[in-house]
Amino acid sequence: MRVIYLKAEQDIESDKKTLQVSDLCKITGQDKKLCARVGKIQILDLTGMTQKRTAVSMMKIIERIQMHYPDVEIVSLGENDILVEIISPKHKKERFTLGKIIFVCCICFFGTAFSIMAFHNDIEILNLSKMVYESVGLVRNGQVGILEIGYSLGLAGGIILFYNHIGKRKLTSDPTPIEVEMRIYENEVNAALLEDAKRLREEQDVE
Amino acid sequence: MNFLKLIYLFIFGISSGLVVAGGVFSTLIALGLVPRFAGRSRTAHKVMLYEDFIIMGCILGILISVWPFGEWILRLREMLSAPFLKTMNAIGEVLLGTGGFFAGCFVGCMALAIAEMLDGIPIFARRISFRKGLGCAIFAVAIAKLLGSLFYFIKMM
Repeated sequence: MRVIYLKAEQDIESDKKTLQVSDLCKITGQDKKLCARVGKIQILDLTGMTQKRTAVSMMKIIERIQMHYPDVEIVSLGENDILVEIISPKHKKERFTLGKIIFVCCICFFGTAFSIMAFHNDIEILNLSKMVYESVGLVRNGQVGILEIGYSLGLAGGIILFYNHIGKRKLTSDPTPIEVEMRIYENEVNAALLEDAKRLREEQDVE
Repeated sequence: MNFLKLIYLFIFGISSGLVVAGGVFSTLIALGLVPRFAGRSRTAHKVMLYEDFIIMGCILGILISVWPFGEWILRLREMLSAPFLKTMNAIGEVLLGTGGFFAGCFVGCMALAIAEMLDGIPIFARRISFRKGLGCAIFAVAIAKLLGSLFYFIKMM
């Protein structure tokens, strides 16, 4: 019995209309020639499809492979469902990207400024700092004092530590919290799309 | 003695700043706003840039609310002559308008993100077996927020 191993990613992007096994997953096994031949088996034909996304079940891939090679044992090591996103080569370059980036930058900038001010307003920071000054027997005279300088330095330093980078230079090799959150978000979106496809029975699956 | 007090205040300030930064920004992260913006605009590769803007926004916020930024601007205005003052006013109006718009975007998303984090919408939808028209509900929330905020400002001004 010859064994081939398949490993699928959760989501793939493709600009081709017909997808074969090797487009959907990685293949390995002892018999390299067999792997290459299995890789050529066509799974999906999306010509004429209007949707931009589709889901394929691993079962469908296994079924197709077994149709061609009934005596091959298939081991799937990756995801059970694959999300295929079709990107037409024409539109590969997204439009308005710069505009979108500027828009998001503005939201981040003004939004954060607003929320930190809202927080300071909430805790009545001027009252608070007056109390701290009085605790050491000094009087806050309306000017910027050493406490404010320290607080601001601490706040800026804290965010830089927290976000783990200054400009493009990272402080450590770890990903920044937003990069981590970005991956989590992408995974959740993929999971939701797959769930939807399954419920609507739009997934390419065995009957 | 006074010098020691200053050192105490400085250390107090730095420590509280560090802790506040950790608290406020982990809340922002937990809400997952930036990934959402980046996902929506399909610009996930620019996430680091967005973080830079968050840091700069925070610095602007500190300038305005902790430092007497307004007084500095007022002092600057006193030194200007009348025509300059007019252009400065115009620039100020534009900045306020755009800044307000973007801050509103952020706060609106934040409010819904909090509701979502607490699973408010899914729980409600399930309790009243609400199947269709979630889009309408979200739209209603947005309109209500617009009207509510206008009502608040008009009433309070």
